[in-house]
Amino acid sequence: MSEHAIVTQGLVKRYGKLAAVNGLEMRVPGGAVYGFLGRNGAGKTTTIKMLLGLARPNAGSARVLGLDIARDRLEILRRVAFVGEYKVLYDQLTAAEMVRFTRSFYPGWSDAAVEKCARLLEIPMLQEFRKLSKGNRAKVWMLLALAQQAELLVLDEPTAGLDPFINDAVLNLLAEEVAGDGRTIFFSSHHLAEVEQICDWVGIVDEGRMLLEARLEDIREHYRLVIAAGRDLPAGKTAPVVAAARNGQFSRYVVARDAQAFAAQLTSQGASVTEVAPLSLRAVFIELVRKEEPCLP
Amino acid sequence: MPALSVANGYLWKCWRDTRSTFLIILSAVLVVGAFGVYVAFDPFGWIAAKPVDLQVQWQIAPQALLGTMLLSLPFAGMVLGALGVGTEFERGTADFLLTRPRSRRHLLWTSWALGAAQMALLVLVSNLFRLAPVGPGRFGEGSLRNFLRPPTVHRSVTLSHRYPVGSFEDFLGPVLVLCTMALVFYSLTYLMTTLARSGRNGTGLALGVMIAYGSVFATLRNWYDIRIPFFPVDLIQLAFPAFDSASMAIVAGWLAVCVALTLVAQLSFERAEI
Repeated sequence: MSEHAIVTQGLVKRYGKLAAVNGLEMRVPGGAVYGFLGRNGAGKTTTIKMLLGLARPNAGSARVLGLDIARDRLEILRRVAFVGEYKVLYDQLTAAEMVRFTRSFYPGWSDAAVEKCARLLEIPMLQEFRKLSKGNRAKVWMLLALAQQAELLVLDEPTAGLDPFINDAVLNLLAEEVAGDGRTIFFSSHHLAEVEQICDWVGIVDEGRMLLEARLEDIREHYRLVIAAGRDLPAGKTAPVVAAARNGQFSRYVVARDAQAFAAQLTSQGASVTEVAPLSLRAVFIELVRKEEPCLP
Repeated sequence: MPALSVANGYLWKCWRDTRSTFLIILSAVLVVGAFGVYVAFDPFGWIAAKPVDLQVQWQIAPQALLGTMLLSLPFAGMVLGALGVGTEFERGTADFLLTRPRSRRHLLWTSWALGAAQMALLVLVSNLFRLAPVGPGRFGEGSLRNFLRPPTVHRSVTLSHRYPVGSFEDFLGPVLVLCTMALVFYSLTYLMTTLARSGRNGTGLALGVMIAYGSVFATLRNWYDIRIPFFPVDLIQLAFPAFDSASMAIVAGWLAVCVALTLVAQLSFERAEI
């Protein structure tokens, strides 16, 4: 496997005048469980569509498992499993029939994985898809993706509609079956708690751009929120600052490392540092995508 | 072998998509055909026992039923064409299907070929009823084809005396012509369903195209005496009275149109984004 499972460079997708993805730079390490986070309309699903050949980029390039998305679509699809956003399948087919249909595409298909998933996730295999609940539909998608034994799983909100019990079962299954095997999971979600539960990397996108890409461990250990009051405070997002915003007379900084040194620097510039606090993933996310007055001088 | 199993899996899925529609149409063909044969045979003498004027009406019934059935089969092509791969978008299953490791060209042509085969089978089964033997007395010795005369063919054309029973011209010629006509309807609807990403809208568009093209054809012919190819007329005129090498060329031409329509559908499908 190449060093990175997914690499995008300046990826752009426009729909008319709207840029759904706007110069996305992303690096998903091989073997990682990568949480792809963003608000509604941030460009997550469009990015996934481009990676899988469902949409064509207007500019930029991307490689999946070392393969070019523009030239090697079928080879990528052979090696990647996908769980779609809407979880729609063929109404008249049962889950067992979906297995019969889907397995024919994949030489490495695992019937053992099908049995294990069906048992753990309590999937009614003989019920027609149209009669399944939203949660069961999501489970069937997950089963089909896991049984492919793919090198990379691309999951677009895979747990949407699942109850907490099954949600945990799905996440555990992913962690054991895929991540435990050294395979890569690329995981788009709104649920920050579940991202924190299984991911080791996160990428936060907004308005089609990557705002932050980091190890979750680094965020927990080193990322800090620094709040300072004062005039003429630094405005840019130069390292180690990854986000800066002003709220009244207070400036808020998300600092990736050396927060105390940064606070000391602000103090030396005449600012009054009121808080240096550790950040949860949720807080980092909110600070990054917050639509507030930018920290202008 | 892996390629074969992939084809089988997808073919099976296409069959499941179209199965109920196909079986309903086939059942209708069998019921109507069986009724026509029953009336022609009159095995229990029920029709023979009726007054003479009613017997005449019963004689007309098989012709009306079987002839109409044969000529309405192309419209079954529209029904099957509206179940093509374009409906994957309407149903929301396109993102699943198009993320399978198979070329879109393969997906489209496999689905098209299955529908075309179903169409051909329907035409073939319908035409088998024309071969049902009829004993002497009521319609004259021979087969049901003796009295099958599509209403659009000029009355002066007799169908029964040109070719011997069982000859190519007698059976396969009309089958080929009807198949071609059904395939044109099918391929046009298939294309429109792919373009519109919806079976219902695709059927509407296909009907619109045929009505518009038919109007142009009629206008040019009646007002300017210019003839452009128009498949229902071209093909129906070939179907029963004569089938020779010139007819074969026309059939081949319309089959090429079917392939061209499907190629356009392929180009559209290959470029489709979700």
